[in-house]
Amino acid sequence: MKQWDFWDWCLAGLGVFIVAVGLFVFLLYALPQEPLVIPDVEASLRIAELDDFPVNSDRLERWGDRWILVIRMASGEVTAVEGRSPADGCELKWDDELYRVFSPCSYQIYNPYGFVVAGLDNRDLHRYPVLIRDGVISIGSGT
Amino acid sequence: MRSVLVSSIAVLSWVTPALSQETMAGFLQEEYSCIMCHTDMRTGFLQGVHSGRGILCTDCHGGDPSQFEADAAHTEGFVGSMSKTEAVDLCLSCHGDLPQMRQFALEPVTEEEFLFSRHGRALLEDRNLLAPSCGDCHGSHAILPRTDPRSPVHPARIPETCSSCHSDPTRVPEGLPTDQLEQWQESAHGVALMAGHNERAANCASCHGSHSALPPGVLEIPNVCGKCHQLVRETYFRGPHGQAGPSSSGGIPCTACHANHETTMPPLSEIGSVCVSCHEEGSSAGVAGLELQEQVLRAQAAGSRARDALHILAEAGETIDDEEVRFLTVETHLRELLVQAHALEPEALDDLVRRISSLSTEIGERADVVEEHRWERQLLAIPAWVLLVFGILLALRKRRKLVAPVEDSSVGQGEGTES
Amino acid sequence: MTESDQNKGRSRILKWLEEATDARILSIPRLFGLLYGPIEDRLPLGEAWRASMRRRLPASVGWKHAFGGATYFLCMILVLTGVMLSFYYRPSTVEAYPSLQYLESEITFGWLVRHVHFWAASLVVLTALVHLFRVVLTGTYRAPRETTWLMGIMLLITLLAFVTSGYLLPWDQWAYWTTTYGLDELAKYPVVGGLLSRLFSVDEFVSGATLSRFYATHVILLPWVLLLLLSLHFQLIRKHGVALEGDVSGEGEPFFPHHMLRQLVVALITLAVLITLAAFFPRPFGPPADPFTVPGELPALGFPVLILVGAARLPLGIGLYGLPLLLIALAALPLVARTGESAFTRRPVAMGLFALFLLLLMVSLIAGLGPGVPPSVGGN
Repeated sequence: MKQWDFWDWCLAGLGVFIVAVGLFVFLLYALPQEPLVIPDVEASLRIAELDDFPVNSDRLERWGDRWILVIRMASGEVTAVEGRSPADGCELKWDDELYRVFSPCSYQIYNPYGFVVAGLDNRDLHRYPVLIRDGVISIGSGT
Repeated sequence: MRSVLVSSIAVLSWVTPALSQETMAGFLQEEYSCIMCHTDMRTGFLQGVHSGRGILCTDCHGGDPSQFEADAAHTEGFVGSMSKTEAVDLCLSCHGDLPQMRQFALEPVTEEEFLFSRHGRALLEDRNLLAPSCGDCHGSHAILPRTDPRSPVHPARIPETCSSCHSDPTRVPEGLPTDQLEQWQESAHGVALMAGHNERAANCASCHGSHSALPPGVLEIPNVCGKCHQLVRETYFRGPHGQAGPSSSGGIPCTACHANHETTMPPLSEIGSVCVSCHEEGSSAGVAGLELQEQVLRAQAAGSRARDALHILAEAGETIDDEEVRFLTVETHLRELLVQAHALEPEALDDLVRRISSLSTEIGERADVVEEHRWERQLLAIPAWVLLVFGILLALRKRRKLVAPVEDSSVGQGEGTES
Repeated sequence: MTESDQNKGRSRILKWLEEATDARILSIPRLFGLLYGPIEDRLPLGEAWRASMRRRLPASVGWKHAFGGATYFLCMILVLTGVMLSFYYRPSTVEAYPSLQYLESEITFGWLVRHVHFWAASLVVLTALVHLFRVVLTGTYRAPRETTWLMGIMLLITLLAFVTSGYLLPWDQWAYWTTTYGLDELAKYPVVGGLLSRLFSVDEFVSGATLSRFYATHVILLPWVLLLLLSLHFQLIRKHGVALEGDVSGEGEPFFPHHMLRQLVVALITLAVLITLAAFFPRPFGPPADPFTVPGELPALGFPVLILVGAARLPLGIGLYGLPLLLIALAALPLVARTGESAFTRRPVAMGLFALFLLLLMVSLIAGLGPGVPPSVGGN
């Protein structure tokens, strides 16, 4: 075999380098990273610890394609209903004085259990079951 | 012989049950003779709401159902086809009576109420027989509750029922327009009811009333519309038009900007020009209108920027739950803005517009980050090409050296290949 | 470094290998087309390897023969990136879309793997077509290489099947409705069309059952078919050679390193093009698949899908029947033209057929670029 000159070594080095880069990319790619969580396939959605969810407050949660309004009433009771108004597509709000869920876009009022109280649209809000265990609030899909 | 027997059995088996099955509220026709002749009316009546409530032919028409001869049956205070006014009296005799209506949770209809309507006045006072009586809207024998989709007063059928007279120039007083149905069908109300099948959408009776049907007065209009559009009504009364209404002679009702039957929404880019159709250009109201338009359009532009940013994020495969939550707030605020705009005070919208803008900017920033990442990816092409071009040149040089072994001893040859 | 030094470095591994096995083990790399010449299994492993590598190719072999190699290189890239994608991809209707979102936005170089796979799938069909063009042009499809040719045509069909089955996997609106369209078109073939379409769709509409079947076809069934056809293709090339006169040993350049360097250059160019395309023109995410919403527009993504969708769109079934008929006619070419002139000007039938094939591909490509018409579905 003839002797290798500088450029031959460059070629060989380049080949090795490309393979090494490929392996490095593969390693970075395959290394375990932040795991994938697909909320749609989970049986329940963790909302918060009771201590972090003061009474007389509410929060809007996203669960897959679902919008959920979680309400902690003055009594401490927690309910979860559809968070997007079926009447006008707006974000629903909780009024802690009137004890009502309402749409700010049109005259549409529900009680905290999802039933229509007033308004043109007579579709009730879907209600999600709430589970409080070890001081943690979770909701289920209710299906 | 055999065939005669078969056919007579067939005839008998067809006739006999038909005869014996004719009943009226449990009475056979031998006991209740009206239905022997008036079978078509019986059929209609049995479909109606009255047949199940113990009401029989004779309760309205009188006569003697125990008689089988027509002449003998049509005695004892018998009333055949009634006149329109007689029909009103007859219906009101029960439907105007609170104790009788209470059990069915029905509001009693009084003669006073009917007389309030132009229909009632024309019929009962002017004796104009073109005016409708109860049966013209409700039907006569097959009277159905308004929740029944077959009823002519079912929400989805009211427009058709009203227009059966109101589209006909010969049946309405001179000067009254006859194109209301067409206009209404084009309106948001008409589309919601006819195409959207929302039976709660406004039909004729929602604004005009039913038994007391009358076009609402100018000062009543905001309250009539406000029955459903409550939030708009509230803000309207906060603003100058609403404040001016009761005190001024005319008032500026909803229909001044939105029309009545076709209930149009003026394009947002023409809010200013709607204002100057009454106010003078350059007047304070005209300027405020332009400002209002400016505010709304700015918010709309921010909203569509946010929508574009969401689209960029989605196309890039990003998970956008947080951005979607923000965008729902943007969409909600945009709708609130249109409600709040009815107060006609541009400053009142400042807060909403600001919030819409800042949320849209937040969404846009995330999209910018993604675009920047894409730019970084594209930078990767540079080292890739440098490396690969280098590799290609080295390989080509090596090949040339192999193919022409005489010249390969000089390194300069290799460099010559690369240049 | 002297020759003996080099040999010293290699010898330890070689010695171990030579002790463990004999030269017949070289038939494994040869199966994958990595070795060109015959294997002298009486020689020691190292010598047999070198002899095989140094086999001289026919003198006519040149740059135009590199497209087969490029196709093979792209197939390897597809296998590698495909395996890597399957590390993260989850074949279910709920998980498919988010798993690719995760791959794209969370995994280091996830985007590179995904888009290189996408673009390699487009390029592999292109290089296969150029390779086919070279074979038609030089007339090397004729006896004794008719089986090699037939395997080649079948490989092309396999590649198209790969593209079609892989297209559904991202499970977005574009993938979903293009597949629906494709299955509807497949059902139009008489006799077997409906059955075939049903065999792949399983359900009344494209659903999770369809996704499972497409996934299994894409990652299990077709790779085996590809391996089988490829190794047959390579064995036949080794047996009959690539050039016309059937001269296996040839008087041209040795396979290694001369031709390998040529292949290296082609591979490097291919790789650079792939990375560039992946970085500059990533396959965008459509909205998640929704059987109840027909998208307003339906772009066909990637060169092979453009051609297939475009062919299905041509009127009078020109593409629907023309494309398979032309492929069958091309496959049957060596049966018609057994011998004869090798200059392409003397082979009007073959060239005419191929020109027709190219024309159809072009017309299909143009039809495919037009605005997508979503398939009509019942209901509202």
